[in-house]
Amino acid sequence: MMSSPAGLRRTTRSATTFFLLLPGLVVLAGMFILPVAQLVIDSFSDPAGALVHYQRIAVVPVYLLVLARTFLISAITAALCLLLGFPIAYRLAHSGPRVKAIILLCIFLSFWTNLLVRAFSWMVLLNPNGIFSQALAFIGLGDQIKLVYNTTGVLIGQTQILLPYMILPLAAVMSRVDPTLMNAARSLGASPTRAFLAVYIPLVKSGALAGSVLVFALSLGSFVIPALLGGPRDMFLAQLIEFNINNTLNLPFASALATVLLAATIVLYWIGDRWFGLGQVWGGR
Amino acid sequence: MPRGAAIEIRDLTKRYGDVKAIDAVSLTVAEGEFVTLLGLSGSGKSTTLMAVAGFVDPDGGAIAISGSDVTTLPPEKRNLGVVFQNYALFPHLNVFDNIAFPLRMRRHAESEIDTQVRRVLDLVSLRDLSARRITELSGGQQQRVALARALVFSPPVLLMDEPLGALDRQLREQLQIEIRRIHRQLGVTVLYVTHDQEEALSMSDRIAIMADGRIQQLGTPHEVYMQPSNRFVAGFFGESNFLDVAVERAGDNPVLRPKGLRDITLHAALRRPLSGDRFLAMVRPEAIEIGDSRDPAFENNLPGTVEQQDFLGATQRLTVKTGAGSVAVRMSRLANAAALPAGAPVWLKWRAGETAVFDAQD
Repeated sequence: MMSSPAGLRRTTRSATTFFLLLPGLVVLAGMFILPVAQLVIDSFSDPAGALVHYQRIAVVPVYLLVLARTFLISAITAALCLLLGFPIAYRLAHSGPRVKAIILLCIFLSFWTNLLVRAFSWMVLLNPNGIFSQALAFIGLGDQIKLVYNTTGVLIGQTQILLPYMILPLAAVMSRVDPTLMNAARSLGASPTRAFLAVYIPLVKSGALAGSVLVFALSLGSFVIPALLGGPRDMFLAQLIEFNINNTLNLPFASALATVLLAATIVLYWIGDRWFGLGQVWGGR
Repeated sequence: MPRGAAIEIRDLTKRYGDVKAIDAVSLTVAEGEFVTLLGLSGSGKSTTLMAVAGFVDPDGGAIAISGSDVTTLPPEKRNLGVVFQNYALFPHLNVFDNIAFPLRMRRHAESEIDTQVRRVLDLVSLRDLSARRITELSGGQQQRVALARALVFSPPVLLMDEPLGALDRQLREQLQIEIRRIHRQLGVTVLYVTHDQEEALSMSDRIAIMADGRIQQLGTPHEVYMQPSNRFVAGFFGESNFLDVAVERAGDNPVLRPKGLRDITLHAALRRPLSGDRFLAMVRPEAIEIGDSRDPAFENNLPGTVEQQDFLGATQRLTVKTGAGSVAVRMSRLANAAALPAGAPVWLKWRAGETAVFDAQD
């Protein structure tokens, strides 16, 4: 039997890796995978038939409406994050260490602040007596534009909360773009705008898609922001699930709604990984 | 294909903070000429090249191409081919689309693009690789694609920034020959940057040796090698022997007296007037021949004793102790070094034309 020292070392190393990962894997399996599996099974285990809850989701208009609104607002949130996050990510990726540190500090300060605190802060800032509404009133738009307890409030809150998830993967991809490529494009006759469109954009497209998929998927499961900053028409799927758990006590139906959300998220990540190389962006292979 | 255009650089200066990256550099490159900027990193050679390309905004001076001032023109309007140090190929495009890029930017018709791309692919012998991804190419192939891309729009000037720096020696020599062939074939003016003295000597019509942001010497490879204008330039091209000398008689054929030797005089052929009071005479190790007595056929004769022998493969080096200091002599591998053991008395002899003299302060 052939057994090279290198091969032996590789086996030892993979064994070490396995044992180091084991505690984490046990916790993940016991506290996440098993309960989620139980939840999925529950959603299919009604005495009246396996698919009875899913039929209800498909037939009763309000559930599909909430599902559609959740997807729509999440998609708009992702688009807004891309629009706002792109220039910030560009600065983060291509600036000197000082500017980089300042941008990262801003991102992480917001990251480290409790979600509820941020939601309540937005309520204070956006309510009709808050500074933004006052400012709008000052320029004569105070009565036309309501900033909170409606879709606008949800979009403002969602965008602010999820912006870092756009900026970080996008900046990671941007910082890998060799700056001499832009010079090369210029030397070959491209104006700065054309160089940007023909070289830079194609090279950072994967990061933009990664960020968009991430923001969209995270937004799908949001609860706090739509509950606090949205109006009755802006209910997200997560609020519907909570309602079925706490108010109607219909746990199997809540499980079915949660399974739909889970499936949508998994499909999204799969598409992202399969066609847009999300795994590469996040450091996998 | 149009002939090359002349480049005129006048008093070009660029400061980064307090440091002058280039300091009043002036250089004229004739149409179709191959000029190399040679220097160590930080000597200002790349800054000069990038200023010509339009990526470095000079603080002073002017750059003209074909007689028209381009100092403030953006890079995309200068119509120059640039080959970057790490090729700067676009990773999202294949070989064909990389090379077609400058033609697409100029909105050429697709049929014309196809013809031109095939022409330069043939020129760099990459005909079969047009559909390859950049990541599937070897370093040498990437370098050829970069060259093809910089030439496809027939620029009158080609700027190359250490284009062979990342390649191994054998490939480098092969590509040196190809770049020279392409230069001859197209007649394009080339401004080339390298830190490799052999590369500069073998490829260039003229070499500008740079240090501290200035051109130390500008001349043909023969001139800068045989008649370096200062110690830095002499030291740049391989090994050299320096002898402290006093000038006994100035003029076109000065007579030099080595410090510490009373009855020996040395002779040099000089093109520059001498000024200052301490001088260095320089002679290359391979210019010296070994004899067993004073030889009137040579202008310069210097006695000494053999100190050490080193076998170097193609050549062997003899270190000879003389009254003016140690002198290295490089002999053919075929020379009979066995007859010259350590301690053997010898006479070193060389021509006046092989002796350069310069101010020791420079």
